[in-house]
Amino acid sequence: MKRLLPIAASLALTLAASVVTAQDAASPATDTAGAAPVAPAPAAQAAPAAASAPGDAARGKGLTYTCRGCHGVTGYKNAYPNYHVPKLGGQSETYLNNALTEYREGKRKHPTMQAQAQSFSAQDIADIAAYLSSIK
Amino acid sequence: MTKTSMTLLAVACAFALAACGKQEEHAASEAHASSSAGLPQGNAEAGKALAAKKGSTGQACVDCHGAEGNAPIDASYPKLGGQYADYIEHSLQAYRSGDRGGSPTTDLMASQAKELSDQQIADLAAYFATASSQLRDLHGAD
Repeated sequence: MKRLLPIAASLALTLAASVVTAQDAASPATDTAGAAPVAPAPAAQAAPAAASAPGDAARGKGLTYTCRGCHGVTGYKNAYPNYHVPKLGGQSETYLNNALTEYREGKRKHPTMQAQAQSFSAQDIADIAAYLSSIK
Repeated sequence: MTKTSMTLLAVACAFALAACGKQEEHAASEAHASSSAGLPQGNAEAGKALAAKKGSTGQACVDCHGAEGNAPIDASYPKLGGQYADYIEHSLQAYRSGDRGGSPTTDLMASQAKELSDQQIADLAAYFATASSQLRDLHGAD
C-alpha cells in the first residue's frame, strides 16, 4: 500500500496529460504538477543550444521539482502513446540541454514537455542539464 | 467548446481511464516493457549484433553511443544502456518519422533511424534496455 500515493499521482497526471493531448498540440498546456506557470515561447534561438553558458547544477536542482512529478516516479508511463518516461539521471549533459531546447522550439513533439520547456530560459535549461547529468 | 472537441475529450478520458488500469499493473511489475506502438517483440541478441553493425551511413550505434550505449563519444549523444525499451522504441520511431527533426543532432539521428525496420527498432531497444546502465530515474535523487 505504500505505493498508493505515487500511483494516485500517476493517475491524476495521466488524466491531465490525456486532456492536454486532446487539445491542440501547439497550445500551451496546463502545468500538470501545479508548479511554475507556463510562459509563452520565447523567440526561437538561431543556434542550437550547444551549452554556451555553463550550467549551475545546484541551481538546476531547484528547478527540477516539476520534473519529478513524472521522471521521479519509478515506472511512470506516458499516456498516449503509452511508454515509460525516460530515465534522466546520469544522462549526457549536452544531450539533455539540446533535448529541452528542441522541445521548447517544437523540434521534439510532446505537449507537456513542450510546455515545460517553454517555461524555462536557456540558462534554466543549462542548469537543469548540469544537475541531471551529475546524478549518480 | 464545440461538440466535436467535447466528443474528443470524452474519448480521450475513456482511453486515459483504460490506460490507468494498465498503469497499475505496470507499477506492480515494471520489468517487462512491451511496445504500445504495434512493434513486434524485440530480440536482445539480434539487437546486440545490429548495434555493432554499420548501416548505409557508415556508422553503427556503438560508434557514437559507445560500448553498450554507455560511452558516447560526445556529450551531445545520449547514453542508452538501461533506458526503458519502450522509450527507445518511441524515440527511434520519432526520428524515423521526422517527428524529431530540425536540429543538427536530431537530423543526424533521423538519418540513422530511417533505414530501420520495426523489428530492428524493437531488437535494438530490447538490447540497450538490458545493457549495463549509468542511468536512473529521479526518485529520491539528491
